[in-house]
Amino acid sequence: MGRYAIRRILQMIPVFFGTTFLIYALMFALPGDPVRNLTIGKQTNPVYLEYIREQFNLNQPFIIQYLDYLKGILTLDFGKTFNGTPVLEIFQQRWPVSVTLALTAFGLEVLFGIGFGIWAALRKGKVFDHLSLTGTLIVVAVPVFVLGYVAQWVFGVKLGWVAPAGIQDGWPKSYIVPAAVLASLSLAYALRLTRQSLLEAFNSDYVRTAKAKGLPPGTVLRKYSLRNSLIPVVTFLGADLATLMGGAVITEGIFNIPGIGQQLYQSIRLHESVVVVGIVTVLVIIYLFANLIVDLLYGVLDPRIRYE
Amino acid sequence: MKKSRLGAAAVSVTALALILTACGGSSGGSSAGGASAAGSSAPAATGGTFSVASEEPQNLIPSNCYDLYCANVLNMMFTGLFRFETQADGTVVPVATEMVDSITTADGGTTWSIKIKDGWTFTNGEKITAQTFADTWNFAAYGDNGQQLGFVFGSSQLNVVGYDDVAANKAKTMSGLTVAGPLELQMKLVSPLGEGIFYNFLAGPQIFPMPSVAFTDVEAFNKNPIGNGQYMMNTPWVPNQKIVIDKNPNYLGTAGNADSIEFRVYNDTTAEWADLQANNVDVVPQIPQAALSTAASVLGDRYVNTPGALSFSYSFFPLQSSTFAKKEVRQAIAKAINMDQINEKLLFNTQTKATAFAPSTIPGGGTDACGDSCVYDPAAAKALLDSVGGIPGNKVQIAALQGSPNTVAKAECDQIQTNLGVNCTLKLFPDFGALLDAYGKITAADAGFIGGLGWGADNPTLQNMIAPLFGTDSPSNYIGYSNPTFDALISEGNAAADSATQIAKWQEAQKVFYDDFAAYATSWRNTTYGYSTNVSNVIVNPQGFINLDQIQVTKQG
Amino acid sequence: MSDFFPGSTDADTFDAGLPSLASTERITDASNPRGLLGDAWYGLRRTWYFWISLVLIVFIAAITIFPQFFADKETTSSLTGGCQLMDSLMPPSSTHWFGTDQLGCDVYSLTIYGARPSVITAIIATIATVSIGALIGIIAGYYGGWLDSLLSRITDVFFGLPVLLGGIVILTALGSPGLWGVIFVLVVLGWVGTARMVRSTTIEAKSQDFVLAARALGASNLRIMRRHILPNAMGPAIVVAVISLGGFVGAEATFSYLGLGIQPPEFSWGSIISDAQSVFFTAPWTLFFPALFLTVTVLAFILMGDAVRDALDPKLRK
Repeated sequence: MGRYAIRRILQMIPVFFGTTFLIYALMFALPGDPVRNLTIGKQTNPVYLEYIREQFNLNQPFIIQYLDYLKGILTLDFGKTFNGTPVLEIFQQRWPVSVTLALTAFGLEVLFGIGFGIWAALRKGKVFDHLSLTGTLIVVAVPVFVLGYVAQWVFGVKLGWVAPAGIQDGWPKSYIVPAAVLASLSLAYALRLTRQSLLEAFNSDYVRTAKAKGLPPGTVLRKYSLRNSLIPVVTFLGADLATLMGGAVITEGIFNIPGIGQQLYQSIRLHESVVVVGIVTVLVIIYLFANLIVDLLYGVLDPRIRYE
Repeated sequence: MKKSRLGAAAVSVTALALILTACGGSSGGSSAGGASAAGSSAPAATGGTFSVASEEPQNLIPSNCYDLYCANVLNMMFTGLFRFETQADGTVVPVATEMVDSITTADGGTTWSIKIKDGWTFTNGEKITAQTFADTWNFAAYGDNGQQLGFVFGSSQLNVVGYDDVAANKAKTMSGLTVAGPLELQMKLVSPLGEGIFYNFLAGPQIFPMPSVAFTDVEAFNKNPIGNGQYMMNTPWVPNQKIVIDKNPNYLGTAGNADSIEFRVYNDTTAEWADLQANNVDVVPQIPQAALSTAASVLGDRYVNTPGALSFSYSFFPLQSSTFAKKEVRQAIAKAINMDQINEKLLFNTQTKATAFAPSTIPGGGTDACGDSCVYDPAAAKALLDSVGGIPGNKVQIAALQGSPNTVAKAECDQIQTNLGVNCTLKLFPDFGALLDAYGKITAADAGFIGGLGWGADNPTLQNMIAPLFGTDSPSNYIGYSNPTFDALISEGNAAADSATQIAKWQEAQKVFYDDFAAYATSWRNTTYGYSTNVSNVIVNPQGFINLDQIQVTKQG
Repeated sequence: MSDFFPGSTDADTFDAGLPSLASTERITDASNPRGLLGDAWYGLRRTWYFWISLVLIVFIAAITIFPQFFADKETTSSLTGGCQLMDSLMPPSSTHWFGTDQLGCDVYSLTIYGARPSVITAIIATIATVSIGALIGIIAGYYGGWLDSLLSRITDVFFGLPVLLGGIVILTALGSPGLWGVIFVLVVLGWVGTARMVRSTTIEAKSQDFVLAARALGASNLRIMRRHILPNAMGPAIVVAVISLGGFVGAEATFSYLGLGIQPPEFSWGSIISDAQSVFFTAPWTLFFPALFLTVTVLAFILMGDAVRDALDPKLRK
């Protein structure tokens, strides 16, 4: 298993280069002159624009810019924004915020997604099952920005339980509402997936056998049904973690949470390639590790699976 | 574009005997100014802390600060030579600060002698002398320092002798800038400037003196700017986190009211609005579109919507395109659009139909310079269009940006279609840069499109409202307009020693521009803001700068 | 109906695996006289939510295909003179059932005509993502080894990009080409979800007895994949696909909300909702009705998906 993990980590290297290249190329392809956009609506200073072009290598062809960027990364220089803030500093400021938000959302997702999923499966066809299914349907159907604004308005403005925006109250007070909004869609997925897998497991031979042997229902659920049916759920959750961290563009925007998603959106608009590439690359690496852990968990959950 | 309404300039800080009282603070059409009535108002409540909604400032280096957010912070931390103040008639003018001893010219505006008062220091104890100013300005102008406001010393504004060499990194100091004594500075200009505009050019962050530590390590200075103003940094600036400034106990001028001011960084005005409704932030200098319709009923008197911000939206026509080659076509389009209705229905009266480029808050502004072309009259518009045989191809396009609802552009298109019978569609661009790139490539054979942009003036002069946009070869002249008569009138106005003559010349230039009708101002923006129940005496001036030093905290703690 | 059911391709592939599955079924349930399709239909007919969703889907299909029977296109566009600025933000009335929006356009007509782009985007994207994802997932999971490694690395690059962020970058780079851009993004970034899911169920199924038995009996790889693994893997994939459908309608709305989706003069539920946001507090009807239609559509598809899955999945039938 150790060798397997090491091989997987080595495989991340080409993925890393693939991602940086892909994103850098996409950013390079963005239409419009990034420098020109900096001065719309105010007096243009040609001297300053030339300075920025020089500073950011914008006069160079794509491949030179990209190689220059890679060279920087090797010396741990991830570049800087047009304002001169180093990307590394942005990371230090923003990653902890996004990670906190994502982990809070992830916690809610695991707790309520799996918890309610199990409950719904056990009570199949009963009121709770129908309620939770209807609830997830609605959550899936309402766009996240509508959900976000409604939650902000209800809990922040009308009820006043939490500050409507910002993180000045710290964890958990400032994070709980945005985390719930962020988690909602994935939570619905996790709930339905758990319920579905569990129902399938209930009907499988080994569970019937276990039941037939007269094992207590709790033991059957924990040791037989749940363990097996968690595989797709764990796959989903593992992949979702990275999505939660980077996918918070809208939630972070609505609740004014200074995380990585907000920065990314801003930097895409400003064509700040190095910031975008840096953030996306880190996201992909997080995803890869989450994935590795998921794959290793397979073996734990289902001993029949062997690593080749 | 939120940022298009900014300009670089200083905020109106309390002058010696001129206290801006809050009489203009109510909503509706009252002007944002205050009567200058020394000692007439109740004693100002001092002390306390309040918070201001802000976007992330680009930086905190005065000579590199070209947005509203850094300017609002730096205006509190630095005192320069001039600051803008709102007069009783609502106009904004530059007024010398307490630091200025005298500013004189002996030769009609080419050579200026600037004397400052003794005893001023930075909060780190460094003395402020004429050399301080010379060093700061040379630093700002030097090309490789990459300071955004360096251009102020160049040909578009002050035009100091020797600027070009410094900007091109050929010299370290501008030859026209000499230290004549410990407290006396001499500035030699390439061409003479009248007093009115010269003072305006001396009122902006780029004029703020910077201590010598700034030049040795500008990165460190950016994190921890050291100024000579009413307030000073509490802790070094961390990007994306709030900025807190505290009262400077050793300030020589009039001190601010609050003990400290907190700038909260938002990326979304809707979040600011939510926080304001919950009294979670005290001053919100811009109300998001989504809240405009309800702001007045939610905030009552604490919602202010005053006409006359120093910015406008304008539409422009590619004259090279055969579609818009005839002036009558352009005028007919302008006449066919009911801007009053659009402002009322779509913008909830937060903009006002423009009849000139400069609003009435600018000396010489607010006139009806556009004349008949800006009067909504669908029948006359149609007749005018028919008189020149209509539009080639009978269709036009209006440029719009992807990502915004584009309701205004849609409504304009609708009215062109209804009132002129011309097919109108939107032409979408991802951003302004792409729009201008496409605009630059329009040829005579292309149908072209009607462009729209906004402009925020750096200073309250009619000159700054038109010259950067329409002067020949000006870097911000996106539309490629060129008319020697216009250029000449602007220059004559700049040089005129007498303010009245100066304004008359600029007005004449504006008239010349309207006669060509390559572009026209569609709307003047209003100054629209709101504040919480914790504060009073909140005024945002037409430039978008908040009078932070005068805000009173009414609810402590 | 199959045109409107996003899982229809899944259902078809599913059929291919039926005989063998049916025979495994018969081992435990020998008294079953019908074929599996008959079974499914029998199950469906007795599900109440099948009928509800069917009615809703027929309605949505109707407004998607024939919006002109329900509303007047003229009143959806300011360019045809159908919207008058003076009618801005009028509450629902007998002339304007759902009120008017800021430009004075009829919200009812907008909602009816907004169905087509939203629904078609979601359907095409769902079909494409599930087909591509299932194919790649099953190949990677079944063959394992270097092929799995290669496919998984490719999956990694795409899945590491969250759909929303990747979508913003790609759509911005492409210059927001409208609906086809959104479909492209949803497919390019969306297939990986199904692929990973199918891969994991394939790995799971591969080591199960019926597969081992089939292999021992000399069945070809293709046959094993088609007849034994696919039907097993499709269960969870359909759940994800069906919810994806809702997700895709929501994603289209989200991209349009950010201005990267459908571009004027065209409009979809997403862009109507997005435009309505700026006047939501004054005129809630501008947002409420399109959001209601959107929600109902997603509900209908998910209910239908549930019903069909329950009917088809042998493991769930009692």
